[in-house]
Amino acid sequence: MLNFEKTINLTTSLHNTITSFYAPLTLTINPSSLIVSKKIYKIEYIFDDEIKTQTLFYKKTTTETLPFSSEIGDPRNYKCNKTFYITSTATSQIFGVSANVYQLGVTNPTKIEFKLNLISPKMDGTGGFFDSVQLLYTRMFGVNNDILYVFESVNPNYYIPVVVNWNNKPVIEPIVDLSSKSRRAYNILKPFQNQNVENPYNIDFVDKQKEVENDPNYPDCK
Amino acid sequence: MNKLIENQSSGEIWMRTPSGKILPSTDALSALNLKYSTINPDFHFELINNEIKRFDFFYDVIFIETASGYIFDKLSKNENVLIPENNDNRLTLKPNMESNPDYWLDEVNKKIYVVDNEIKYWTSVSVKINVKIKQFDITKNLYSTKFSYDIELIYSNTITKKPTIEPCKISYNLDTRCFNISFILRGNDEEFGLISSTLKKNQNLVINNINCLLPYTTVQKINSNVLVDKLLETDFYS
Repeated sequence: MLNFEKTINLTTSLHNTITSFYAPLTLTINPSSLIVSKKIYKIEYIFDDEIKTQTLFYKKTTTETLPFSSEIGDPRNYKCNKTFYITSTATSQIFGVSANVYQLGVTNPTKIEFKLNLISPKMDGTGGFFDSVQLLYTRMFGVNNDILYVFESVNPNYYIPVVVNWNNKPVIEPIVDLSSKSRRAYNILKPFQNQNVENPYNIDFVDKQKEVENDPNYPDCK
Repeated sequence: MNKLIENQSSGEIWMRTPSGKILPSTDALSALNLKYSTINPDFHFELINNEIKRFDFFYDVIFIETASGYIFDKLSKNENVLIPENNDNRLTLKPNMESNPDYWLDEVNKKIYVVDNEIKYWTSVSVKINVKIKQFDITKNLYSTKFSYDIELIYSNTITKKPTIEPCKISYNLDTRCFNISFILRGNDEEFGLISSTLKKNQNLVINNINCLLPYTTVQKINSNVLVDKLLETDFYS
């Protein structure tokens, strides 16, 4: 399964930006260069479908109010990974991401909100992912006329089997009006996303907080 | 480089004749070659000079494709020699070299369905593609175009070069008695696009739907126009 990867640095300048990437995308948010005035004790990463929280995992005191990024427990030392898939029938989709940065001694979190415009990758041709893609074989089956398309790609070389069902389109014979849906991709431009249905959010996210809490070398880390 | 392309090399076809002799196809099929010497000298030249691109057998029907065209011909045995059953022209020429047929063998009814496509014309905002379906009745040795239709795509944005069309692929759904004919149609940057037609098979063929996925443009309309619509040869006879 093809997966594009991108790392972005979480900074205040990211706020209110929109950036385009190819999907599916594994986005890594790296907060290490985030500069704020106080010590950060929690960063909340808010996605459309879930919230991930990275909290300070060493004992905090009221006197420690300055950022101290060299500490292992600083939330800025931990990246956040999230994989996005286009879930609509369009060839692009916008996802909102926001990070709430909580600082000691500051009531309201600093919000950094940005958008991702995720685009189905171009299969081949100029600027395409593959050098070329050929249709090798088709097989139509079942009562709904599902069609198995087997493509062969060149550089990188893959056999790409994709099952498409075209039946949802309105049929006005002998003219088929596609004005509203002509660009929809089904899964044909997203062969890499065939596993969506099975496991859409299979993210390898390590809970560092829990790891350290259970680490006998750091008995006071709670 | 594609491994399949990398491994391609020229070969030579040899055949075992009905008497058991193993001969080069140029000798074993000399009667067939002779038939096409008068019909089309170019095709004949390719047959006898090992310029066959693709071949196949369906019972006693042979399919041969060269750069200039292809044939489906029924062979019979005459004193241990293979000869074509008739002398009519079974050659389909490929004038623009852009058409390669695909075929599907209906083993139960001993029929071969052959599909071919070509671009008839194009403008900056439209393209018209012709698709032909021929039927070869192996038992009756009848071969003719049974269905032909144009697909016209109307774009809302401009195409600056002639689209590249790739050969059709045909498949048949036994459950719904429908054919699917799909092919790739490339845009300005040689980018992938897909056209799919579903044809319902009864006594003749009927367009059930036509769909497309052309990420490089926005399609406003698909028009279809049936040019040839003939009754298919009857199935289920022995």
